[in-house]
Amino acid sequence: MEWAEKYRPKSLKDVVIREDMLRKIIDWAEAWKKGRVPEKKALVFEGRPGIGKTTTAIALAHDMGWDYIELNASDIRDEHHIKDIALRGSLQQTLGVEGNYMKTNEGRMKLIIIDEADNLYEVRGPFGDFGGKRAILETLKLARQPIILIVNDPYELFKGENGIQLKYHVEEIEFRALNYRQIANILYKICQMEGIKVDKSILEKIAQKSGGDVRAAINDLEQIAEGKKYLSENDLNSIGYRDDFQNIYGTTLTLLLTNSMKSARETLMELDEDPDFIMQWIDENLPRYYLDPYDLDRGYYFLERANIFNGRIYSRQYYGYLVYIMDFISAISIAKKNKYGIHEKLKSPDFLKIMSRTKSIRQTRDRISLKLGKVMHTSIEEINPDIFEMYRTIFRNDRKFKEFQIEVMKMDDSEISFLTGNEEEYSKNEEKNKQNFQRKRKK
Amino acid sequence: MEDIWVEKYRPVKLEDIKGQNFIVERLKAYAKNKNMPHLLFAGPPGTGKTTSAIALAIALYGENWKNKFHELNASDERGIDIVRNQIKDFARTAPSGDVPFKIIFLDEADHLTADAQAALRRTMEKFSKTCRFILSCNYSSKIIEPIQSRTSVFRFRSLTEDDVIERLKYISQNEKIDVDEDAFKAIYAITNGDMRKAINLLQAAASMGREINADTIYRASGLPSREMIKNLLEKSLIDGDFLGARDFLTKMLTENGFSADDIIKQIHSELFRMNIPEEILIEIIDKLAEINFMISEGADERINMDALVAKLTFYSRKIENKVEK
Repeated sequence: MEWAEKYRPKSLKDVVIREDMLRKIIDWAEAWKKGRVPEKKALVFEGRPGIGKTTTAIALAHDMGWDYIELNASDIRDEHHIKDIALRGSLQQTLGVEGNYMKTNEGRMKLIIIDEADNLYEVRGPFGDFGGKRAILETLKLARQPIILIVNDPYELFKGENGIQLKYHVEEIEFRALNYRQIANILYKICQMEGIKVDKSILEKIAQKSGGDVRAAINDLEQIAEGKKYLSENDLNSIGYRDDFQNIYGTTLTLLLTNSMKSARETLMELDEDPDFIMQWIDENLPRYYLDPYDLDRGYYFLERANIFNGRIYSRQYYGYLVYIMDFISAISIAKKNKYGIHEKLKSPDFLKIMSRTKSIRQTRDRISLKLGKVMHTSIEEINPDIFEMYRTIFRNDRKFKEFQIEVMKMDDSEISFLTGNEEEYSKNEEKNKQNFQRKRKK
Repeated sequence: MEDIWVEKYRPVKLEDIKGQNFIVERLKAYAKNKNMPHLLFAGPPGTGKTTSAIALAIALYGENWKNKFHELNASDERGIDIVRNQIKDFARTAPSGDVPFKIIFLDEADHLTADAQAALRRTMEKFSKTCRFILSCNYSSKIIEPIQSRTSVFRFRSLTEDDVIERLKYISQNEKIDVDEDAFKAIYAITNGDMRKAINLLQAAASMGREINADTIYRASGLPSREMIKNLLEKSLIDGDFLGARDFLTKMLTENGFSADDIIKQIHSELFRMNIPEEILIEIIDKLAEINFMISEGADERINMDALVAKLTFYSRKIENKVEK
């Protein structure tokens, strides 16, 4: 059996988690158990991958003697399915883990786990999750059973009209990455059980490389240790780096510091990543390092050239230009007259996230246009932009029209908020929400 | 010679895979112990990702491997419905035999949409008793972080000249063709560590005759030879002889029938082998890149290529005495 699953803790006493968080979770669960419905019926477990969110939820059910139902992104989670499984389950029926109805002891509680709740795929169609968030909200309002939602990015869950409402019904629990000593300890216990002799310093190296992701660390350990009785420093060689921070960080830094195009190029080839990704990192950090305006201007000249050829790859679908992109990016290293030392930490570009959101704006717009096109017997091209703008004006100004349209066009949150604000405001709001959100979380 | 050599000589044994020793050593251990974590194979084309996945399956399951190894080319079927249906169905049933799990190989997993990747992650865990995943990709940044967390990552490196030539020699012996040393080097210079391309090129050259030299390789590839490119660069970039260089270039384009695109590509590689100061090198490449694009946009290639020669001739002054002949 795969180690990450084999050694997934069954009980909360084996889960590595901060004491105060554990207290909060247990108090909440105890309240349910004693028949006092807590003020917040659902908890939201937030945090990056591999730090124990799903494990904690399942272990909690185990320790409390509850059944649990799990709905995750591999399930269809549209309004119908959520209502059928989560809502019905949270009211009375007893369900199995897979959502099949089964008989268990009368009166036994069931924990509803909605995993990957930030990954609802809210489009219509047989495999889409249309109306999923609204159904979760309704489930929360009516539920008589404990519910845990699990997310990486809470912003995604709490956006939109239903998302904002959702926030009132939940208590957020923010999971933190483990430190490398905690992870090394977990690895050490696994080695003992597998009968593997190993020096703790080696496990600490694996732990450090994982960046706080326990599951990744266990996977790395299994990768090198499967079938071995003894682990040495040499065994670490086969571990490939995840696409983590350190590598892109190191590459960007090398590019900014070195004065040799050749060594910049070698580092780039070694990194072997998507040029888009590298260019975003350089764009974010070039101004932090190239302080002389001459250097900055020259640096941007080459970044721009790389960018232009990147665009040409997309528009021509001709990948032969890729070499030039790498040439231009590596030339940024020799664009400077001055020499710079390490004087500031690099910042990771937020732009990647914003990009994926503007993409979702376009998709939203297209979805609405498609619906409109059907009603008006015409194509998306005809709808955009003239008819669309008029429709939006009416939608914004006439409340009755708006309500009727939401109903007949079966609009979801993102479509409604797209129509109520203008496009720039919509993305500005999205950005502002996100920043407020992060600021609040820091407090 | 009706077989495609790439398939005919695709290694079926893990130990025959070239240039990825650390990886192969681990995969052999997985096969021996009949256990493995989910894997992510990342690396450039032609470095052995698919071959490794298949060889691992053969080592694990023996001759019936095809029943237990489900290959999905994600660039054909890339939506969320594939994950919620096909993959889940295959993953949930246990295989027969002494290996308790099946393998789903998601080739080109970086082409799966982010939504499909999200739908994949709990499936990977919930059915890990009966199914392991191997994902392959060129760029791991296109694989979402939660999936990376659930996999062991193996980075496949571009193959070295020795690795590629060793395999090519084995094939040449088997096919009884006579290939000289320069020809092998030419193949590597053209294909840069991509084994698939290298073997294809060898087969193309072999179709032109049993005796193969560097010239045959360049003819098979449709590319101008290194000697020609060197000659062109010597005339322009070193001697500063515009007319001489242009005559030679015209000959290449007309009599030899090389495409401007290929000539540019070869000039690009050759420039990096010369000892040109980097600030000048990048200026030349900047021009080269632009001309390459202009020509594909439909500009008259003769005029653009002449402009390139003019540029090269211009730089002959700047790099005087800096480049060895």
